[in-house]
Amino acid sequence: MLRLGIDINSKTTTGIVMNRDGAILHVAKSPTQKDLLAGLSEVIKEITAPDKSCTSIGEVIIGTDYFANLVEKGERLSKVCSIRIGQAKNTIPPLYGASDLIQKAIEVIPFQLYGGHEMDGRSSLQPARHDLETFLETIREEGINSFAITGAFSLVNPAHENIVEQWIREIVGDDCTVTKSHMLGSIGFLERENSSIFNAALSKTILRSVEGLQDLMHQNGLHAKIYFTQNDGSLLGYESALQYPIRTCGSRISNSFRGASLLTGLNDCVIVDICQSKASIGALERGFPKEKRRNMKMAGVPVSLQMSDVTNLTISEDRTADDNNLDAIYHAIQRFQPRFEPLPIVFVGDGSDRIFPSFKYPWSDVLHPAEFENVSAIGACIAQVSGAVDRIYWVDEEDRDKTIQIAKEEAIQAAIAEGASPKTVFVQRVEINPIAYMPTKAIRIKVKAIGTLDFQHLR
Amino acid sequence: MSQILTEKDVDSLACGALFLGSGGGGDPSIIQIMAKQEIRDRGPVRLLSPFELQDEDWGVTLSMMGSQTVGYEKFLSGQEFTTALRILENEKQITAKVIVPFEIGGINAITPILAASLTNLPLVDCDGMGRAFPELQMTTFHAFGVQASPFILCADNGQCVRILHESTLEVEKMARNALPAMGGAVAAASFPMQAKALQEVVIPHTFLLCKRLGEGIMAAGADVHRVFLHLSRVLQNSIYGKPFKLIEGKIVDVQRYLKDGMLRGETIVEGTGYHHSEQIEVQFFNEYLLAKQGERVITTVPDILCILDADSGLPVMIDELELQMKVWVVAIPCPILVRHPKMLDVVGPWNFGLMDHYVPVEQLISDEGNGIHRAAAWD
Repeated sequence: MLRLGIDINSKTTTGIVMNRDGAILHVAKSPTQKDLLAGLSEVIKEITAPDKSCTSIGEVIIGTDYFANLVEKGERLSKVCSIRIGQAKNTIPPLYGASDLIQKAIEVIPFQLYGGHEMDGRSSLQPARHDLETFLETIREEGINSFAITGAFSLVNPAHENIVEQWIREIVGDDCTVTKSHMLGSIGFLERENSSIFNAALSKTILRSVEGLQDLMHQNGLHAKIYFTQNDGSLLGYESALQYPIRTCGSRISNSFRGASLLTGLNDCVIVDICQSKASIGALERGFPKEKRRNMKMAGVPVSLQMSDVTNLTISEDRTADDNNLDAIYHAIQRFQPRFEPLPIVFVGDGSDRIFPSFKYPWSDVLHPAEFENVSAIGACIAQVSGAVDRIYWVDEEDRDKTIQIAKEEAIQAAIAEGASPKTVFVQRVEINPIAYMPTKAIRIKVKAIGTLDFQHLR
Repeated sequence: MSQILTEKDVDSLACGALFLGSGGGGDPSIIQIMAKQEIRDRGPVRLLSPFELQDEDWGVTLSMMGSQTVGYEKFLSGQEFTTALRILENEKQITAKVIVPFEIGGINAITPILAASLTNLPLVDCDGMGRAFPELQMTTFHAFGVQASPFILCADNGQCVRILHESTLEVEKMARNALPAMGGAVAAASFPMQAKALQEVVIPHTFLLCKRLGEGIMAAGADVHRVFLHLSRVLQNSIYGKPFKLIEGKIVDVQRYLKDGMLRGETIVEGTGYHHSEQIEVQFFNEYLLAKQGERVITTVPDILCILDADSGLPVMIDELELQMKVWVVAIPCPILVRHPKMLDVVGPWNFGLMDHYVPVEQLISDEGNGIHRAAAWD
């Protein structure tokens, strides 16, 4: 069984065919075009050409920063109606802190619906369908069909978000897309709302962008399952990706890091990824990209999305590196270096051959693996499956271990539901936080489980 | 001389308040945005020194009470503060002339600014804790004889609770128990006092100090060395005192557990570099309370402990602690007033089940045979 990993950056679309042993069989490249599928179809055609004999491709895995770039540039985004469900009118506007460019591109129409849950999941105020109907009537003229719904404590109880989604579909029709915040991230109303708004703004775009992808594959005799990679570098099923495009946004850099790890055999290192004029510097910890844990931002707005801790620099595209660029990269690397015993540094990305020869770092190894320009596609090939749980549980002290066990089991099941082979799934991380300053029995549990894709599962 | 607080000052204060929060007190970011919006709409908030008030003027504390996690998820509209103030004024038959800040650490450094803007009253440059503490009686207000009652709680759903009791300890218990049913995070009005009493019971001028702290830290550009340098410069000639760097290293253990419904636990930092082969344990109970090097206690509540993220120079809150994080542990002597025996009665380490006596951090550290003092002088 083979895998086709595809990396789409703003310049090049790269496809890599890899077997189960991690050997690269074929590489195909094509310029990325404004139409996502155009570059993709060239790559697929080349890979599936009869002389390549790649008939047994079981999965096609796509990693791209295409949608992330649209958000950053404020291009091709839909208008979004953001519905807040809460007890008090929240005076902070949606997308607070976003640039004018983003504000204009998305043009959020906010609406406050009274309702929402308490921290124990109960609700003292039911949202009124009538209020929603009246409001939707007033914005009918605007022709909005992307909705984001954010309810207080929807992670504890998603009932109000679900009912409001149902109402919207009944009132507006099935043509609209609805993003529910409890599917995106963790505690933190504003961050979750921002993530949901970005997702809603992209939800029509992704449908248009990949429309015809399956037909294209079938025409070329490729009957594989399609995946995207998500922010932590793990797999995201095709259907989930269409619903939650925002989850793909950080995936390219994670793929690049994981690919660099495979090529060098290093599990802990600092990675410098250079793609045209953008240098991204981050670290690999025990084989996974170091995660950013605080102040996650997208287009300058706080979000609740998992992302890698990366320093981004803009560098010149000259053939030879200038001193300012080298200096900036050096300082970014130092941010990730421990004070003693510096980690090896790996240069990857299609622009890394410009910088690598002139970069001097006397304190540790500096590597530049042979397939440096294909790391992201390689990383897509080896993407794993993850399952996560982040929720508030109500427990007595004696039931605590049992509850943690339940949460772990849920994360494992989530990974299996995404296609992980049960035998390979392990719990990567468990975090437990009691809720402070309250005489309650609430604890917040975060669990992440990781496994490899089950090959039998597919056929 | 009266000062004003602008939008920019709110950011500086919020930054400074993170350091004085001793790892707790909550993340002010949401209230910070709300306060800035109010200031943008209504103009700057006036800040008065406690000593320029008229003796007969009434001040009331307005604060948030409850869980910060709830606060991230469910917002107050702001009107709850005005409502709470009006109910208290009515109950006590007074008219408040100024808003008195309650706690300079964490969220409650910013709530009074929002409340002052909404009620169109000036703010007094002072507070009752000099840091963050979890309970009402842990204030200089209570320690020096002002009652919390009448105590008014207002929730986002319009529900209000009025607590009348002459004992502040009782008020604390009753209010805390009312919280879950009210949703977990509420606006509170309490401690009505006249300026004459106020001048005797508050820790003066903590707001401007906190603002100065924040301004310099924001200018230090996420460099932990510069942050610490600035911290030392601002604090060494203040009512606080010169901060000490206890260790630089990485977190190798974090344990959190619930005890009587409250967050307790400890974290262990293993030294690197100069501090190689040293280890410091920090115990927390809503805030960081005690630091130990082996069996030796080197800092205890009410002195302030900060765990700084070595990458950003910013304080790490208890719920953000994680393994492998590179950190500095820093101790800041608390204001002298907080070391008064009456104050120690309510905030001394024994109140948190720790030790039965209190020794100021500078004494603990200057004891012979301890490397920390030298390290601090070194930086």
